[in-house]
Amino acid sequence: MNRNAAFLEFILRRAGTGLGRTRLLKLAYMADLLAWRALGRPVSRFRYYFHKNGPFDPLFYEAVEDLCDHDRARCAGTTTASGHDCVFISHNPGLPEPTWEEFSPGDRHLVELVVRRYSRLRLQEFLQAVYETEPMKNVKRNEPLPMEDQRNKDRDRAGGISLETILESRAAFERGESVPFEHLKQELLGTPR
Amino acid sequence: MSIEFAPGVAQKIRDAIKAWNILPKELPFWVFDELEKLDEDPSLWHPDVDGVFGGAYIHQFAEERPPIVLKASVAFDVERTPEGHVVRILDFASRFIKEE
Repeated sequence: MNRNAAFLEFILRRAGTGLGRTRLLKLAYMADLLAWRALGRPVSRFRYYFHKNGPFDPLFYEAVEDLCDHDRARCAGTTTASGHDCVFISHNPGLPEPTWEEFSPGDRHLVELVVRRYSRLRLQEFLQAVYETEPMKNVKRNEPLPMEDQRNKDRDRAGGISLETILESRAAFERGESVPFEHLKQELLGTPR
Repeated sequence: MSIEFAPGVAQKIRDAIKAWNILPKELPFWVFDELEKLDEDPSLWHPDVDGVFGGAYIHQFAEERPPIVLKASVAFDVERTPEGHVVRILDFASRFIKEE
């Protein structure tokens, strides 16, 4: 299974419930956008362009098909309360949770953040948030979204702070590893001024 | 004050200070001074950046050494108590500019 399919499965599993295809694609876009801004690279290998309904990559359909072919997910056609036909995708709960080793702690953190923030938001509000993201501005339909322009924007705004280091630090503290402030101060500055 | 550094962050600070030989002599002291100030005054904390980071505290310094000015900024990500006191340093970053 390719990275894009694994990425979608990770989103589906973190959401816990099935997701409409539009929402799943837009969650993938938002996670990739946050990753560009915080990690300097995307999580997936999707290359988004401005389709009629916002960010899109035809590879998304291939990734969903890949998931379903491997029985990692199930797709079902349904009709929404407002009368729209849509495809509903859910992970296969009968399979064990993968280890997600192909994703860094930063990747996983950002996907979980996006799922928490947007998976239960009303679709129209979520789509509005998607349309208000920087790559969607000043781009015409059928043009690629300039995702690379977002590289490290959040990291730069935070003075160079690294999300991956923060996550490593939290793990180290959980293992009981730390350096006391006064020890490091004395080591580096010697006797007080 | 009971503040702890993650080991990787302590090493980042050691490495940065080693690289500061030609930069402001006071910079290592400023790093610790700023953390102490941050612990004493939680209002110095800069808000979260789009929910991705826990937040960041960025401070800029400048030292005039005619004919140049050395500028530096240090940034921290920390965990705090509900009262705002710093308990853990999760990351540190530094940047330098030399202006002729």
